[in-house]
Amino acid sequence: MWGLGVGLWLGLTSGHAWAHAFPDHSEPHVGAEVTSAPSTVRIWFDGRLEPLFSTIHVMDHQGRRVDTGPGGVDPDDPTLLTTAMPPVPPGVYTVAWDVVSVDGHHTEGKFNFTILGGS
Amino acid sequence: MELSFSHLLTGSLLRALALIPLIVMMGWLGFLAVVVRSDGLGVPGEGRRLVKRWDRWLAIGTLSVIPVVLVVGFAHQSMMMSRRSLGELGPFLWPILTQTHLGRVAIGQALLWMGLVWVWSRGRMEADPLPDTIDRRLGLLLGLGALFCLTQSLTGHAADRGDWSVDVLADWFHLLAVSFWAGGVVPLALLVPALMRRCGPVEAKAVLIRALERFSPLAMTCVAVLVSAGLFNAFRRGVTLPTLVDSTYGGMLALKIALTVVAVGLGGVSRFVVLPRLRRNAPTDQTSGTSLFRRAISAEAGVTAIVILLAAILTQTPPSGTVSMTTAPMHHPPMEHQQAR
Repeated sequence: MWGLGVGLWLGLTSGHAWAHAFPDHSEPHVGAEVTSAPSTVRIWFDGRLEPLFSTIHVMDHQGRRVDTGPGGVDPDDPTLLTTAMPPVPPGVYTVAWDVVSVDGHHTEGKFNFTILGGS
Repeated sequence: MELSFSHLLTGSLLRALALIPLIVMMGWLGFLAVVVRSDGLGVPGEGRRLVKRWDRWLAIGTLSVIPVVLVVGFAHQSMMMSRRSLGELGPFLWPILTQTHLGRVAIGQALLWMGLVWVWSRGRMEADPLPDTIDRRLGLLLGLGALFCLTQSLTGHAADRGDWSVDVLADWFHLLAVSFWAGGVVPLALLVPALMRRCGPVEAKAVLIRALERFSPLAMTCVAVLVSAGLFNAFRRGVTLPTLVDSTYGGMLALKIALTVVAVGLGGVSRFVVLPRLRRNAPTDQTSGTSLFRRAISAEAGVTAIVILLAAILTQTPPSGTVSMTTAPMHHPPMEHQQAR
């Protein structure tokens, strides 16, 4: 009977343990300090994304967009959001992402990484 | 357009409206196949006509509601995804329908609905649909209905892991099991007593015993599938007790679990108390078993309806507002301002 109870408890959790796509990891890492500007910024999510409504931007410390885009879901990996970066000077950069998972739910967020100066 | 609590509420309501007719329809089809069977539960002619009326009106009712909910639900999902109001949605509808996962599934749902209408309407034209229902028409309806249930799994959270993932398969089995069990409770609670009223005292009791004997294995199989699918999903998703008690989501989930245990318990009353009592009593003694059955099955139907509403709310609710990148390969601070909407 206890086994049935535990099973029911677990059974009724099915379908709801994840609801929205959240980042799994990124390149550069959240809060990373890198010595040179990355050529791309990539975020891997824990679920598939809708390319039509998923965006990624990189901004400098003044809020100006610096990535060269177009930025979006990788055609070969629907869990990967990526955008291209030009050579940019040292400083703190913010990656802002806004995605829709295939079940139609929105998630958004931002994180920083730092490009260290040469001296 | 700002997304708000009202949008989540609307989404939950639409999900419930999508699930309820589907569960009622699948429950009825399962009930026809397993409980009514070709012998019509052994009731005389008037009872068989009542079964046919149920079949007709359930078809009209569920198949009328489904397309309305599909259209409204698709419009609502489109508003959520594009973050546009209904008035601004026009230019986005076609791209959403043809380029997104939800749009492609919606097309599949529309085709399946047309198939269900076609098969069910063919059955209506037959002079005596019951025997054929069991053999051919019911098989087709069950197949189409099961595929329709699959589209619900494909638009749910499980699809985030891939359309053909084992997660979708487990979610599909979960929904099928809920449909046959909870949906089957409706005719058991309403149709069987109505059939009993059309019989003499001895035959009425025999009808109830027959119905319970046939429905119980189905219900217990459904519970077993729920348990199996749940254990699998819990293993896959790392469900723990703290995730259930730390949030509004967890509280609602705990309530849903508690109510489901109550529903199973009420089902157990019919199977393990009412049925033995009916078998034990004299053939003409209806009072002791049937009155308890009516109370237990009515309560079970009410509780499962609340569970379905809670399930619909949970499908629209994120497990938590902020999630850190805990599975990242290297240690680093969590993302800022990360939120689900």
